[in-house]
Amino acid sequence: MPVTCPFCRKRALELPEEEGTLSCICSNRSIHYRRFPAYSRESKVMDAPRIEVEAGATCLHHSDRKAESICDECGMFMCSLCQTEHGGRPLCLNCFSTIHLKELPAEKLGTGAQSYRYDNIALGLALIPLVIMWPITCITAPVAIFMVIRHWKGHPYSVIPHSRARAIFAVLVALCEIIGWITLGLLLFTESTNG
Amino acid sequence: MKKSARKRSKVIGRGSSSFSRSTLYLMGDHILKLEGQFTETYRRFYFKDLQSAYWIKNRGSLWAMIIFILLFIAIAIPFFINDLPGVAAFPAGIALLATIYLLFIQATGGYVHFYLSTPAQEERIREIKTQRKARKILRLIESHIERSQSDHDHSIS
Repeated sequence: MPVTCPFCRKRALELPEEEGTLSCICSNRSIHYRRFPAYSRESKVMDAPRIEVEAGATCLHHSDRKAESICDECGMFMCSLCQTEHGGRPLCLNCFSTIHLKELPAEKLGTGAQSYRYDNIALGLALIPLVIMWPITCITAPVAIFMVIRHWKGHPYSVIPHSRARAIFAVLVALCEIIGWITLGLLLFTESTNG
Repeated sequence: MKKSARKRSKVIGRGSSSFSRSTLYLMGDHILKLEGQFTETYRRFYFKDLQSAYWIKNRGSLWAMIIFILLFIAIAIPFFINDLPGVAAFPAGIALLATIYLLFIQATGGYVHFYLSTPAQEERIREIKTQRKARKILRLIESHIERSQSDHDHSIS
């Protein structure tokens, strides 16, 4: 498949050799490239029969294509492009991903397109207010501890494994902040009772 | 599981912008681009899908080098003329080191914009900044690509 010119982002450029340089007519600057075997692989284009008569159900997402089946979960009309299968049941892509996600083991839940790093969030909650607005640490410190405890089992929160050091450090910082607040409260209390 | 996963992932590039940082990992069967600190976003480039890699030279380093040379001259020369090298040593030294570093980058191909292309996407890989790095990573992934794409072709046929 040709690549798009990185300068004009409009023209498609064919890569003639395994490795080399070429240039687009929009610029005289050279583009260095390396081609891999998949470059010349023909992509299979899927198709679904188009509806030819007015009557008959059409696909919910492709109004010009004939509905071939109904989703077993949500009842959506689907053409063969939208249809997928799970455990022998015809399903639409939405229902398939929902069911698939539920069936994933806990350790694989964080392997999608996005995940939350609760240890970093907790560390941020514990440290950032300390630097920019320390009085709000009385709220953020307990929240940081809660976040670590709440998501302790969900570790490592990421595709790339790492230790719990950040989460533990966040708890320690948050505990110090809470101890600081308690000490300050006690000092103020004893001062007010004495004076 | 964790140890084997750690073994399977290898950092091959790092990048950062004003508010986020990103890391490029070499995984078992793909290159993983991880962005963000609090919310991690993953982009995967499977070896079996990679069609091409291409890069264009970025002239930024050349301009930076010229600026550092001018800076070095501007800082150092007046002090050397007046026999006061000690005062100018630190800023001039930094400018000189930066120039030498940029000269090295320029000599090994310079800074580049690197792109990976698959049937579904063409994406700039900001973590690969120099031509030297681009060639090094291509050498590293070449065998993986050849193996997975030949396996893929066999499984299709």
